[in-house]
Amino acid sequence: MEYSKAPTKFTAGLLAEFGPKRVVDTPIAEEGFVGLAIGSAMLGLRPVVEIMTINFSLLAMDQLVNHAAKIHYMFGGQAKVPLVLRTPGGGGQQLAATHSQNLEVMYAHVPGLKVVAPATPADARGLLRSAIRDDDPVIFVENLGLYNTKGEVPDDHGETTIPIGVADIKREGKDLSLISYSLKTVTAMQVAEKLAQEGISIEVVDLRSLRPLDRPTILESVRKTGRAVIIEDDWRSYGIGAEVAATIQEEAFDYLDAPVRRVASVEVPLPYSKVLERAAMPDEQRVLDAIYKALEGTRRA
Amino acid sequence: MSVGQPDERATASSHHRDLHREPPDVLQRYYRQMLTIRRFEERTGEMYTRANIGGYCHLNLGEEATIVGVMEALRPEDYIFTNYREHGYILARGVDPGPVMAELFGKETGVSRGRGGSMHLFSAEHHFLGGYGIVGGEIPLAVGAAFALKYQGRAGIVLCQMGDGTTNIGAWHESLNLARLYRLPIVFLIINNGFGMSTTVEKGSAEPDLFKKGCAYRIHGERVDGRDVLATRNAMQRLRERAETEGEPSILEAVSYRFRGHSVVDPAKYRNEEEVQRERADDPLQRFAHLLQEVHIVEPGWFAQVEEEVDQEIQAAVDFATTSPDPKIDDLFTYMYATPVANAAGRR
Amino acid sequence: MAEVTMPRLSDTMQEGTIGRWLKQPGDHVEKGDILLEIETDKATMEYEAYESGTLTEILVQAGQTVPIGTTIARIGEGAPEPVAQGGDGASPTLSSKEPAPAPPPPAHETNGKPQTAVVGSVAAPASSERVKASPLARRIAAEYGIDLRQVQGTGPGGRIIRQNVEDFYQQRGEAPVETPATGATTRLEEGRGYVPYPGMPSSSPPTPLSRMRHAIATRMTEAKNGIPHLYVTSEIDMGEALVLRRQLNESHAAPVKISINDMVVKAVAKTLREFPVLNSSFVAGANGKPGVAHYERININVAVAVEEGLIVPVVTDADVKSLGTIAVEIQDLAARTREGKIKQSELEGGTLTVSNLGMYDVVEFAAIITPPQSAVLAVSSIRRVPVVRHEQVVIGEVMNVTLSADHRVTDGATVARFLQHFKSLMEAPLKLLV
Repeated sequence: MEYSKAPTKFTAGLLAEFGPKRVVDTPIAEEGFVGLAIGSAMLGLRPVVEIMTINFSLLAMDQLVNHAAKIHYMFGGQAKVPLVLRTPGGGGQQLAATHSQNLEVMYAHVPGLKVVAPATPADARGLLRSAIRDDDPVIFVENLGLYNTKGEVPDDHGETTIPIGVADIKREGKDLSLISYSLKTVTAMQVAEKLAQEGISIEVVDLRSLRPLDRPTILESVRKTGRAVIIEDDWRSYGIGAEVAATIQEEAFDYLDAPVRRVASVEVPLPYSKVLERAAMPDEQRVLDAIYKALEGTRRA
Repeated sequence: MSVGQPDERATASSHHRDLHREPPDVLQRYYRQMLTIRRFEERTGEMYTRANIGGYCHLNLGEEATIVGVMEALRPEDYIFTNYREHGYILARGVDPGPVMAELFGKETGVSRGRGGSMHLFSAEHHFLGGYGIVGGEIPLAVGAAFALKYQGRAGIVLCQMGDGTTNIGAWHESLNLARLYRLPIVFLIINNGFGMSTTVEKGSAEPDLFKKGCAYRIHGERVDGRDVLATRNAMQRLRERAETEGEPSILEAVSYRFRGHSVVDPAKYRNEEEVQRERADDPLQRFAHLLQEVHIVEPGWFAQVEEEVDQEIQAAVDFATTSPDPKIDDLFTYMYATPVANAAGRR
Repeated sequence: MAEVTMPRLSDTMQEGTIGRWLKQPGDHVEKGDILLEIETDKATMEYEAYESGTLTEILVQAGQTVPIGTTIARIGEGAPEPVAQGGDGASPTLSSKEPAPAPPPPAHETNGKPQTAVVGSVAAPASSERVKASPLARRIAAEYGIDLRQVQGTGPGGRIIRQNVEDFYQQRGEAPVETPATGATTRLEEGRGYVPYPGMPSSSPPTPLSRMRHAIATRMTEAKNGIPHLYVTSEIDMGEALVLRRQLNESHAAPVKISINDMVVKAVAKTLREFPVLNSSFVAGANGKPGVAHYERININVAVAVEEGLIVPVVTDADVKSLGTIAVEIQDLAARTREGKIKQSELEGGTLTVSNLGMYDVVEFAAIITPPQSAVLAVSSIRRVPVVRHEQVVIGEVMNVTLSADHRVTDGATVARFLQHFKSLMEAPLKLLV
């Protein structure tokens, strides 16, 4: 596609500002241009690659998993791959099954990659800076549903960074830890606000980085609240939530007052029909149900 | 010459008069390098059967002339990406056989510190940016390196080596398109040894003239007798020049023969014995030795002397690999990330 | 009214820690019911009631440690007495000078092995039904010493959750005890149960002993009080030993540098071969008649200082191992000890201990025997001092060693001859190489 008329406005203005040498248009050849970016990074460039949606990144899977993730380690530290791959995922726009996936867990599974998934404009900017300055391949996961988010960003002359691998407590609470990332952090904040009016105190843990996962922050929160619910847009089986729940179970078992619960996408290819699509995705009501269930037996429930 | 037409100069074999134009010490060096690769690979096969080498292991036996010819045409500023059949290339690039053998043994002193093995040799110092185990995996990377050279305005080109079967992979076609679109300094070297694993070229590629497969991307291609070290070198020199000065990517198809199976453990039953014997009779090393003798470039007894020196060198490499230490288990996570990050500590 | 006292539950037990109370004040108790769990130095034991009645009072709470014979609870008839106010510091029984009125119950045979055993008559636990409780509720209940069987669960399927445990506590009107019940290292709770020494200036609240310091404190007190130590000191001319060590190290005779301590270990092991009486243990023996048991193998403990105390790994069969092997092993053991990677099996089976303070410029010291060994060799620094050689005063290099021996096993003269032999080896150290 032509960058001047790109359907997403993420790169708007870049060409005018930085010129055609640095802002390069590519043919639709994900494996080719992602591999090209990796190879150029090996020689010292710092490419930021945009793939229009995470679904198309599957075409570049060999380059990302077999190459970007392996090169530094497999060659004994002799080459670095300072690559950033920006790509949005997520459903809810009636884009149907092949264009509505949350595949971040596939990348988060792979040692050698770093995967971040911010939820706020400030985190997005700070993490993107960290990702560009990082000497390792970073998958920067966006969500189509977040593109209209407004939020404060520090007026910092380009200096504020958010470290990769550090989660953020977006809201403090004492009754239950609500753990989320990307778009679902927005849901988590809404739910926490609603429950506060019922006297339920929710702590929102925004993972921000999926690999490395900030286990200490998760565990500290759960040790404080004794309960955890994880919300994720990816499919439930083998998802991000499964890893978080396993970590809590392994490291904070004696602090659990209720089983850890997950709210995730229903395990179907996302349907086109608005009705069916809505039924398949984790919504606020399902999150509330899971929280009430986790709080069952307490006076707060 | 027109795109997609074989270069007659390249397909022709070297003749006696060609030899007379070469300095004798250069010819002697070529022979010595070819012999080094031959002996290294023979010992590698032996070491594999002695279980000193694990995993997959692919040999360059029969391809020595191609390797030496191609590598002699390159300059120090050039970069090399290869597939997993690459022992000879890194040796011809000037890396000492000791660390190469040590890598095959999985030792800390190996060229990839024992983390890569036979298919993943690497030497940043020598601009040898890797053997790659995934067929076609190295091609987009090599195009990226060429992109970086052009972006940074640096001299040099990228050599991207691959097997005949790789020309059927999508990544190659995407890469040809990108290389020509961005006019990158790169030469795609196809080693046509007749077989993609066990499938013949004719059964695997609708266009068996592999050097023509760049036509759709307006990429020039040539075919050369890969058993002829000088012809291969000359072809590579020309294509290298075009890539560097004109930004013209190209394809060089070197026709050779794999003396052994696809890998050390492949008995290669899909080839008939008669063909194997016929091909082996045309051994590139012997062919070059005869030429050297016929034109009296070397003294009688020179071959025996080189033979002994190379044997000693390879024995020293085996000794080095044998006595080198294994990587420390404490270093299991050492090269995990180039930029350390919070909470990345490996969970064992 | 019957008093429940801290029982003696093993041959070496002197005090016990309340693990948790399974009955609470007001509970009816049948003879044979399990009243509480007690942690001894070896195991966690269940303790059964000897009387029927109502548990009227608990005097020692979970996590607290009291000597054998101390009254820990009372069983009476009728209504429970008001519960003592907790949270005000010392429990009355901790400073009680009252002698235990009841003799301790008979000890149960434990073979010295850690085990959980039912004391008294054989009885099954009151209920084998599993209580449904969240992990957090279980942990808090254990900390508070609450029997979960008494708590009503309101979670899904009747699961007991944190709130239920906390409510139960509130209703009992007790403040939570913050100390984990299983705290072997916190027998002395900070700021609690601490009686200052009269006349001493005010001090910080006592810091609880670490597990290691506690073990050392107990074991050394036992050894010093129980074993009649005799001490003999010898002065050794180290001139030859230092020369030999230098020659060995300069010629790289061993993979690691040989130290004086390695030579001492080798020499003491060879000497023990000549004097087996010291390679022994004083034992109670059959029918309670004391005796001395000798060991065939000569295994030398080498004390290694670590933060918090010391650990003594063992060089086995040091009499037959070469000096080089001993040096390699000691270096390895010391390194792994400091890294905390030493295995329990590598700490066991020593028959004599060498304690070396040579690096601290020490003239002389005596060490306490580690039971059940019979001797310990204390090695001091090598010092440059005037010595008489060939009727001339010259500068010599001498080292004092003191052997502490169990006087029940041997006498001063034998120890002196032992040291004479040891001295002859150290002063003609080539003998250590054969």
